[in-house]
Amino acid sequence: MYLEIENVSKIFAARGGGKEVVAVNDVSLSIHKGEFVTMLGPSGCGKTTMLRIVAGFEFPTKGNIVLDGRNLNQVPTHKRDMSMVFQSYAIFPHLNVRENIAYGLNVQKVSADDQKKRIDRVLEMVHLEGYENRAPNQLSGGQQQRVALARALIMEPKVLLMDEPLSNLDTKLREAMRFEIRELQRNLGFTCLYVTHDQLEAMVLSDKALIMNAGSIEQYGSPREIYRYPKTRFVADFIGRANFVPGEIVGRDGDKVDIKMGEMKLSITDPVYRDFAVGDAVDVVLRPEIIKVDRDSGAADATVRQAAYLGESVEYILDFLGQRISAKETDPTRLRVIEPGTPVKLSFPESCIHMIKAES
Amino acid sequence: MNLSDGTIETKPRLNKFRQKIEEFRLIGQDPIMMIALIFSAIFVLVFVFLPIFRTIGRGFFTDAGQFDLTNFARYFDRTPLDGLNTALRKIGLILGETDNYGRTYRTMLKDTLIMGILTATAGTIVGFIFAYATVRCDIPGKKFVHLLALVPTVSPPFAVAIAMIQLFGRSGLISKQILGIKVTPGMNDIYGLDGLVIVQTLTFFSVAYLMLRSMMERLDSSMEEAAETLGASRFYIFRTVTLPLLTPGIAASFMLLFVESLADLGNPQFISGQKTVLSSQIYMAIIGEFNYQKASAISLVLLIPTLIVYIFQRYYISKKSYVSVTGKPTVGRVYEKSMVIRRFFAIIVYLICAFIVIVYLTVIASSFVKNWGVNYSPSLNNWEKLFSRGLESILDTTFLSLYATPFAALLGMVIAYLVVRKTFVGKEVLDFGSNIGGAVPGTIVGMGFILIFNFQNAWIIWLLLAVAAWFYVSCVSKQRSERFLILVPGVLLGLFLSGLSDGGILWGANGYFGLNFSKLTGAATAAETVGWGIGLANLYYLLGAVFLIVGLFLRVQPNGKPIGKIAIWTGFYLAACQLILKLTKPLRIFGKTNPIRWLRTILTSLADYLEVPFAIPPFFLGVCLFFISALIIYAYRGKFAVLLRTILMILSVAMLFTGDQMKMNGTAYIILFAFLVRSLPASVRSGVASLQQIDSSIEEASTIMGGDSQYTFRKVTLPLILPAFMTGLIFSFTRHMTSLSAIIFLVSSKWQIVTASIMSGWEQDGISFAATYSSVIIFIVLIFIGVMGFVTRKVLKIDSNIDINAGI
Repeated sequence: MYLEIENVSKIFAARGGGKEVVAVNDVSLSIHKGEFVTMLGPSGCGKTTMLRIVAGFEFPTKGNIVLDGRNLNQVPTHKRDMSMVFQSYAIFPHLNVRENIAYGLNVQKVSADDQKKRIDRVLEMVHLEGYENRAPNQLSGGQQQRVALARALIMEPKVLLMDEPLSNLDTKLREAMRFEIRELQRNLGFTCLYVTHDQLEAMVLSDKALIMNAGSIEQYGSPREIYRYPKTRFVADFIGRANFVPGEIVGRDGDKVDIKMGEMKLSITDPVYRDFAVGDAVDVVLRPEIIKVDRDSGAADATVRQAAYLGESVEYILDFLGQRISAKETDPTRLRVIEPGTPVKLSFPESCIHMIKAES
Repeated sequence: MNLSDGTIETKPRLNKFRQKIEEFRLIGQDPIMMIALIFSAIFVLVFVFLPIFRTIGRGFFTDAGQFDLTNFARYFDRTPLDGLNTALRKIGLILGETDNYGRTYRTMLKDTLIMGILTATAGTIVGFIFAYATVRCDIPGKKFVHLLALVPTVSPPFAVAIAMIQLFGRSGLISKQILGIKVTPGMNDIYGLDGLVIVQTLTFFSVAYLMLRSMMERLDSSMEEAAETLGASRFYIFRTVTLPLLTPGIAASFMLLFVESLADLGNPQFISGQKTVLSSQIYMAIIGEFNYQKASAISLVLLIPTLIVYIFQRYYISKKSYVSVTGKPTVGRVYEKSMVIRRFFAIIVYLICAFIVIVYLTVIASSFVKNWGVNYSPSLNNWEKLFSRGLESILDTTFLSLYATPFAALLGMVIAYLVVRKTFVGKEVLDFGSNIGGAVPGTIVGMGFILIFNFQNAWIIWLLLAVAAWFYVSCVSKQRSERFLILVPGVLLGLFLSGLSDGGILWGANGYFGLNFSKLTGAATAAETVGWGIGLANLYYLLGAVFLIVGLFLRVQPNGKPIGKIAIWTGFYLAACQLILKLTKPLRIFGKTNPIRWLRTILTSLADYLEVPFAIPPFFLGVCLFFISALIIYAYRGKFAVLLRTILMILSVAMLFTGDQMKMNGTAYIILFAFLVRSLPASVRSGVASLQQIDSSIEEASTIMGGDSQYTFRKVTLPLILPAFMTGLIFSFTRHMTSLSAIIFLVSSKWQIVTASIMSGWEQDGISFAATYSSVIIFIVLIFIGVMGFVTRKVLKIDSNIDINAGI
């Protein structure tokens, strides 16, 4: 393991009549060299605090950060061989682009020739050739973002930390930058720890994603694992959208599990449900996009409550087994809206259904 | 998801004590940051808290050291509480006379409080009108009005009083010459509480003006617009929105003015006439009666209201404030639409401005006439007199003010940085301490300085030794046994070495073994013990030489070059402390024999000034040596590391205990430190305001790219807070030049301060001479501000205006 986070907790002491805040609660994580890991969660879930602990800006109340076999707890930030891209970019306003990028090299007293070579290379990487002598206030938001990235990359850090680096960009630019960052990381092979609250960003960028909630880890795994097999209701709901329909396990045969959902019977064949026993109450996770709504053919009955035409899709809110669920029709040939009040039939491919143990 | 239950069960416990240790360790990872922290802490402790506590404590003890409540009991004479006095006297807690004092004491207290309340009220009203007129009414010439309103902040503390006496005094220009009023003393003249309140209002209203102005500028006009769309009338909006939002500012400025008024010594001395206020009473107790007990006791009485108001203002009002103090001025500005109010405010503002102009013109004009009040013919006799008699004090004041200025501003920025950016135990105390020195009446600081720095206070030195030695060993060594190996010989040999000069703390005249030791060894008198040893000069040479050798040794070591250089320079400096005398002595002799009088003054003063940088008091130099030694050696891992660490420790301890230690009376440094204490709050506050506007991630970015705190501070923080630094310089210099109450007891024949000279001499030299002195101070301050403004704009190319509000 390259970067290890061992049982880290961080408690902020009570200030001014407030209560103690447990920002990070016993988080452990192992990251391989060259891996791109995103930390994802709602605001206040402790992801930024976790990143700042890794950077050394905060001292963990408990636990260790180990990088390449070296415990970093007693190592001050400036000796950790990491670099960071900040949400606010933190470009030095009194230095121009070149001086900003050269800052870390100057600390290390890198010779002028060497500096020039490295700066030119990194400027090319982030497509900022010709901007060397601009002052930060003469740059657009996207360009500032690139300067911040270049400034971090030029250090060739052991770990690159990024704290919501794209959140201040407009949507189009953000989408383009995602792929650029991913490409740079693939080409250069640096280890990256990336904080975001944007699930799409996490999907595009990460090898592994860490879902955090209220200071604790909810799930750690590849984007596909997290989307397809969320372990908790929180994860299922946070990554993408999900309907939860209560059900019960009524039988199993090897990897094949039979579930009863209302009057409906389903069976799923997948090894991940091995520790489910007959009689367990479960929540069946139905992603809106797997639900097919049809006037005539389908396995279950439902009624349309609301319908909206969105151009690329049609969204429905349906009454199904006494609760409201949402469905999303994305098949371009079927984008005709079914009027509210219409009784409809639902069907979903059993290979796309997931279930989690019901939380009491 | 029932996560909350799970979190409570597995919730890690926070060990508060461990957390605090870790906070320190986080700072301790960076020795320079730790040095900055400890240095600031020592400064605040030794130069702010100790003097204030010493002054307070002194009021409870007689000269002989007996506990005594006489001066406090006097306030209760002839009141229902008189019985308590009798009781206390019986059990021996009141030793002095209290009968017949009650009425005078209470009258003075009452007059002081009335003065404070009236000045605070009037000053706040005038300040509000000025702020409203310049911010909201868009009056013509508001820039000019703004500058005029600032003039009182850069003038000596009694300039207005002088002008008022010259205009409205018993032989004043307006009262006698123009109006021909026959004055009945005590009835219709300017002297007394009424005149004092007018003078103080003019002197201090700028504080209220600046405070309210910055608040009004930051008041979000959309709130008033919102009220307007809801159908409220202008006056209704003013009453229900504008005024409530400004209330914290109004209350704060009232309190600040109250404190300033109570602390003022200059104006009451000139113009209070038959009345006496507490600050004058303190001054007279020391200058007239040499009664430190009385002075200290009254200081405490004066300190109580000041302190209450200050703490209330700092911790209550600042929390109540709705207007963000750090935000930028709002763009859309609401102007007062009612023509009547605009005209009315404009007229008041112009009238007061005209009055300010007249006041300061009078001060300057009176320096150019023969004898104001009697003979108005133009003459330069005041200036001639100034050049012959006052030149030295003007030179001294300017030199000392300039010398202290960069240190005040730099220390201010460092403390601001620590307070805003770092977390550590006692941060509040450091913040409070750096501010309180400027907030308490200056007489209290000044008196504390004489009470402490006129003597060798061995216990303070021991305290400093403990702090500095703890820092030193924990910085240079990680092993317990090694620390012991450094600490014990370091202290013992250091003490011995310090004794080499003249006996020092061990067997010097005042040392622990001094007289006893000499008796034991057969030398009967103290006189013989003094003079024992190699002498102070040789000790400096010795210490310098050892530093030089250590430096040379380090230079030839791998990676030792930069740290060796520091050691060598330290060695040179120590030697120079004595060598400088070889240069200044002939200069002084040459100067004294010079036939031209002003050149004589300049040359001898120059000799004094050259010595100042090399005459740092030994105890302070000792503390500095600890830090320098730690810097030199903490990263050194080569051969003889332990030996070198011990040697440097010995040298530092020796310096700490050598020579006059804390005794600074009559030196430049006692004045310099008093200046620093008084001007520190302004630069700290301007630094804090500036730092709070800078996103801390900018500094974090520097840190994570490998810059340590010191590098980050130098390359990122300081350039970004440069405007605040320049403001700090200007404020500090102004504060130094115009400070009176804090240094009035500290001046000596060698180091004279203009304000103190005016104060002690105006009754003999005449008020025109005092006006001449005041004009000179105003000119020098204005020149400094002009030069700094030029440097800021042209040399440093900072576009942003220096935010003069930040220091208030």
